[in-house]
Order: sequence, then structure tokens, then C-alpha cells
Amino acid sequence: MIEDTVAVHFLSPHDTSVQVPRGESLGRAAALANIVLDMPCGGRGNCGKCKIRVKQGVVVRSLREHVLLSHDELMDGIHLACQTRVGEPLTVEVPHVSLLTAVYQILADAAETTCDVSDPPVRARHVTLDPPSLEDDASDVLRLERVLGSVEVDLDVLRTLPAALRHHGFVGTALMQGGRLIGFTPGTVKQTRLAAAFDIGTTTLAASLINLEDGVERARAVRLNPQTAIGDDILTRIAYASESSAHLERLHRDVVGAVCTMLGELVHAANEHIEHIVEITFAGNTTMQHLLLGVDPASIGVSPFVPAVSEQLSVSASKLGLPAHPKAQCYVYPVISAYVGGDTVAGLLATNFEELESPSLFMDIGTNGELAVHAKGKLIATSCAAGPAFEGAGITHGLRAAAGAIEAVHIEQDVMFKTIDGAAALGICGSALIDVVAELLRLGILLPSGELLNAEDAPCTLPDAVRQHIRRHRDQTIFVIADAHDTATGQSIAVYQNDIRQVQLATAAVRSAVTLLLKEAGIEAHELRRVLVAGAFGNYIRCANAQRMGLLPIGVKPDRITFVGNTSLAGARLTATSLRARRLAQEIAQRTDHLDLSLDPAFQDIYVDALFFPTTNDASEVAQA
Amino acid sequence: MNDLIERLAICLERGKVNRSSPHPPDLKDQDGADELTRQALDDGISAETVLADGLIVGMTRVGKKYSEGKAFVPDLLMAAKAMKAAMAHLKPYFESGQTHHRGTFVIGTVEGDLHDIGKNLVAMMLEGGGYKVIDLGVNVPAAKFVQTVQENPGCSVGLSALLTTTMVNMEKIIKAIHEVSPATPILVGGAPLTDDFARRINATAYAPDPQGALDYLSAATS
Repeated sequence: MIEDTVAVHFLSPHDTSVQVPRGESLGRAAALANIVLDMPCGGRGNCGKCKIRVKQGVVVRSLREHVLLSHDELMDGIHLACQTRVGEPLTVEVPHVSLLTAVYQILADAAETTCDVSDPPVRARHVTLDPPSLEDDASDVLRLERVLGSVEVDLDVLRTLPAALRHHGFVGTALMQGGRLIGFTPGTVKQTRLAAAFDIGTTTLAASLINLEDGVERARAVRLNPQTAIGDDILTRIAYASESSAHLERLHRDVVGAVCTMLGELVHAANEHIEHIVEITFAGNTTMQHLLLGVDPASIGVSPFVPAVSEQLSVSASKLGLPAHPKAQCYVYPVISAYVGGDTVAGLLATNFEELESPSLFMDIGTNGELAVHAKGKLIATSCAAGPAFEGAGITHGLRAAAGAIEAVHIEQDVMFKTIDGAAALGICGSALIDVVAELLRLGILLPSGELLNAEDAPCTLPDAVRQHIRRHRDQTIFVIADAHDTATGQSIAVYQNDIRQVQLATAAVRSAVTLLLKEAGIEAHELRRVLVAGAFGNYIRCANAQRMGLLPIGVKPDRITFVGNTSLAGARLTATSLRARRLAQEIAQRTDHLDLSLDPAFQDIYVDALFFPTTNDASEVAQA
Repeated sequence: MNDLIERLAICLERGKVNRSSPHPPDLKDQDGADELTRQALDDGISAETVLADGLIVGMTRVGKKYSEGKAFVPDLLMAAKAMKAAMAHLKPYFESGQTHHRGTFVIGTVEGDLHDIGKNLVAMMLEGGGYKVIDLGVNVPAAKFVQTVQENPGCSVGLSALLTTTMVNMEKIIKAIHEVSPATPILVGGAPLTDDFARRINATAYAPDPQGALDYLSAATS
């Protein structure tokens, strides 16, 4: 078969060429060239982030490009890679901002936890056996059992055992996985045992390497989840995986491949051997755990939203194709429901959530928000679809938290902002979006209904310098944060009326979920003694602003709110070194009641109420609380 | 009379249900859609005029503001409540045949999907626009759509989905409806949808917002 292919020549980020079938999208061509574009909408032409400049060759302009690109960009030969079909040979370049690696700053700080190694999944037992004699002719295995108790030996280990025992006069170290002998090292040299713990996030993979001898962390690794090339949100991936077994296989291989690379990075950083990794644990949302295992997540995506498996699992690393000790096992966290996954169970375990003064609330704010409340001896969890607005997707000048992203905004006599790493401004990230909304509400430029006032309608008390930031663009009111001469893009960076709508939707999802969860638990927000905010996002937001605009519950004293970082990784670490932690995790998963918000008849009313930002009166409770 | 009808339009636009409703604050203690509709009918203004020049005009204004980002979901829902209060007075006239609907619109959220806010907004916008709306609810299988279309010859259909995983169900529903009734117009909408997707699954049209659905049907049936 002769395939009709066309060449696409990329000048940047590196000079490379690929052949693609005629009619293939430029986005796919980039993927084939190993160029990872920022494509939060998954190539549906909704977000306008995958900008590519066509230098040579002709392509057809799509309608979406006229909607999503500015006049200057259209004139400059900028196209959306996902919307552009390759019909003839092209020469293109990829602007730096369109690269996922460029806009991404990986945040993987796990809450500090001490790893308990008193009951590890794999033990090293140093043994000194009496050598066999005519008087004592017991078999090698029986001889071992005299010291170790009943032992189960796999055939491949048995084949190497006699030689290993005799190599150093029946002295050595037995590697025991429960009652199973998984290796025998002759001599008195200490056998290194390592465990790797993974947080399998939708966007980020984070890992930690721990010494099972003393519980000390030896290395960390972080990496983007390569599946982001298919789309940022879980549902896009479920839809993709459901299309064919080849697609499911691809997503499975993507994540397993990344895990393999990270295992290599961990042992390299710690100067160890990969065969010394005897245990690997994973915590992730329910869908990611399915994809890691190569299990079809289709049923998670449609009502009645059921996962294939919710119990904790133990599978051999070799079966998953992971490089490690040949007998290493992988532990996968139990989940609570289709959308309250192992990452939440890990978070509840790592923060000792049930031991905290109650009533208490656990919040993990991400594209999918997970919430749990502990009150009156009950543990209830729920989830909500906050969408990716706080990660910058769907926001006109939105960016993930990366160098050049505006991360903080403060308005006094004028508008002040700060970028990550102090770099020239490229866009605005979630924490700054929260600041802007809170500040605009405080100044009365933004009404609780979410309407951004025109400059002439804004309160008369507003300083003129601030008023000048309120402008119009394409039928929308916008609030300019950084003027064109202050940015790296040469274009002003602003928050648009429609961006505020996205923030309203995201905030309302979280807020209504908290309201219903507290209602189910029979408590009021002001009764909460502790609020834990997990996830990398939390560390960078300003509590008072997040309360002012309604994302964090109003009425809770700020000193009761704690940002706890990546608790999913912290939980994965605990179960990597302790079987007791696994029993606790299983108990948490079983004991937690799941609240399905969609079944609550009050949901729509509460959600719609939550679409209004808190009024000045509501907000004054923040100050009083 | 014109003043009364204009005040009625404002009640719809601003979501003022009745005298006792606190929303919006600046219209507190004033008559709402409820009282003004009664008064208009008592003054001898025809139900047709109340609907076309008052209610629909107000609804269109809030729909346009929504498209521009000036109004949002709660505003539309408040407008819907005002509409409902007004329609309670108009109902006897519709039922007695003194006035008629512009057409029938069958709407539902597709199988596998339980989200109904978007669908409700479209339903109420079309009701406000003078259509008889048959709301099949959420998680609606293809067979239910087909049956309803057969029972209501000449109707139009609206399919809603919020999830990437459920919007794919639209294709088979469209196929099933068009098998029994090829000429039935089918509009699709929902957050993950695009114009492109709508074309790919052979939908008659993609409506980006409630006003878009009303505009399309108005243009198609006028």
C-alpha cells in the first residue's frame, strides 16, 4: 500500500521533520515529532493554546481560529495546530509559550511524613545456618525454615538457592515478601532494599524513593503525565480510551513508560541499582489507576459511574513491565468511588485526618475536586467537577503555574502584580485569578452576580489609575493586569468577562459541593475546627482572597486553614514502607461514605446560589470569624 | 398600555417574579411579572401581545446579555421564574385556543449524563420564546426520544450533554430519530461540544447558548 504522506518540517523547538498522512492535523504531526504542545482542551479547538507559526506552505484557516486568535496573530501566520490539516509540505515553528514543558512548573512538595519501617512489605533476614552433615541431612529449604518459619519458594528462586547457600558457608540474607522467599544474597554484605512511591496525577506524576532499612527518602522525581497530549481532563481520556483497545493500550503505555523513566531517574539520583527496588506503590484518581493497570475506564465516564475495581490491588511489577527486582510487587490504592480515588484515600491517611480535631474538612482542589468531611464520628466524601479554570485552561490569558505566569495581584492606588521567577509576564495562573476576582469584588468593579462593570459604571471612589485598567475588547469588558509593554508576549494581559464566568462555574462547583457535604454531615461551616487544602495549587493561594471570592468556606478562621501539599504522594510513601498503613488505607476506603451530589434534589438550587460571589456582607464574616 | 408591556419586559429581563420577591434589590416592593401580567390581561390587552411584546422581548434581552457575558446562569433562571409566574395567567388563553404555540420542542440530556442545568436553561428560553416544550429529563435513551418525536409530528429536538464521555451518545440518538423522521430538526448543545462535532454527528445545528437555540428555531420556522 502506498501511503499518501506529506513532510512537516519543524524549525523550533528543535529542527526536525516528520512524514504524516495527508490530511492529518498539525497537532498530531507535532506529537509524532516528539513536540508536546499545550493542548488543555485535547485538540477540540476550544482553548486556543496550541499556537504554531506556519512559515512555508499553505493551510486552510479554520473558523475556530478566527474566533480564538487575535488579529495580529492571524496576520502573523499563527495557526492552531489541532485545527490545521496538513495538505502540502509545511515548514513551521512552535512559539515557546505553546510548549507544555515551557508553561509547566511541576509542583510536587509532599507533606513531610516519617516513614515507619517497622512492618515493611519486604524484609531482609540475615541468617546463619548450620551446614548440612551426615547427621543433619535436612533439605536446604527445611534448613531455612528452621530459622525463618514456614517459607514459600518460587521455582526460579529455588533454582538459584543451593548455590547461593553454599557460596558463603550458609551465611547470607534472605529477602522475604511476607512468607515468600524472593531472593537470597550470600555473605554478610547488607542487602539494599528500596521502595518507590508514586502519585499518579492527571497532569503530574511525582515519585519518591525510600530506603526500607531506615525509612529515609533517597530521591524524588517529577514528570508530566504524557497522557496530557490526549487532553487535560479525565473525561477526555476516558472517551479516548473507550474508542478502541489500541487507544486504551496507548494511554496505558504512556503512563507505564513514564513510570519506567522515573524509576530510572530515582535510582540514578540515589546511585543505586534498579533491582534493589523491591516494592512500588501507586496512589491516583480512580481513572488514572485504571489506566495504569490497563483496565478499561469506560464505565467511570457514564452514569451510573462505576469503576471496574475499588479494592486495593497487588500486582507484580514484571506484569506491568516495570524495571525493578524480578519479584517486586506493585501496590495500588483502594478507592472510594469513581471520582473519589486512591489519591484522596492517601491524603486522608497521610494527614491523619480522622485524628484531627473534628469537625474537619479535607479539600483537594483540582480539575476534579475531592472533598471529605469528618464530623460526629462519620467520614463522608464527595467530588465535584471544578474544571481546569484554576489551572489556566479556558481562561483567555490563562497559564499553568510556570515561569512568567502572573501568580499574585494586588490593587491599591494602581494594579500591582508578581510573576513566577520574576520573569516577563506571559499569562495569568490560578492563584492570581483568585486575587483578581477577590480584589475586583472588594473594589465594587465586579458585582456578586459576576458582572464586570464598565469604566463609567464603576464606583466613583475608584482611583483613576485603576479605572483605566477597565477596558472593552471584542464586545467584552476586560480588566487589564499588565499592559503590552510590560509583557513577554507584547500584548496586554487581561481578565475577561467570560473568564470571570469560568471562575464562577469552577468556584460554584467546589462551593456547592462543600455546602452539600456539610449539610449531609449536619454541621455549619463556622463549626469547622480544621480545613486541610491539599494539592500543589493550595500552597500558592492567599487564604483571605480565596474566602472572599467563595472558593474556601467563609466563616472559618484563616488560622484553622492549613495547606498540606501533595498528600497523595505522602500517602503512597506511607504504604510503600508499612503494611499497617495499607490496612489503615483499606479501612478508610471502606469506612468512608460516598455522597453523590447529583442525587441530591437540592443540588441545582445550591449550585445556582453558589454561582453568585459572596456579597460584602457575607465577606465581612471572613473578617469577623 | 405600552408602559405596562415595557415594565413587563423589564421584569423578565431583570428576573423580577412578583411584588414580594427580593430579587433584584433595586426593584424591591414593585410589581413583578406576576402582577403586571394579570393587570395587562385585565386591562384588555391580548394574551398574544403580552407574550410577544412583553415576555418574549424581555426574554430575548436577557438571552442576548447572556450571549455577551453580561448576564449569567442565575439571571436566566430568575427570568425563567418570572416567565413561569406570567405564564400561569396566560395558560387559560392558550388552552382555550385563543393563541397558539410557535411549535413543539422536545429536549433531554442524553443517555449516561445526569446534568440538567444547561438543558433547563434552553427549555425555559424556548418556552419563553413561545414554544411548547416537552422536557424528557436526564439520562434519556434514544428510544424515548424516538417515541416522543413520533407522538409529536412536526416537533424539533434538542440534545444536551455535559461530558466528553456522553456527548458521543448523541450520534446514535440522532441516527435513531432520523431513521423514523428524517426531516426533524435536531439541535445539540453542551459545554464540550463544538460546531465541528455537531457536523460530524449529523446534527441539524449546534447551539452555543440558549439564545442561539431560540434564534436558530425562529429563523428556521419563520
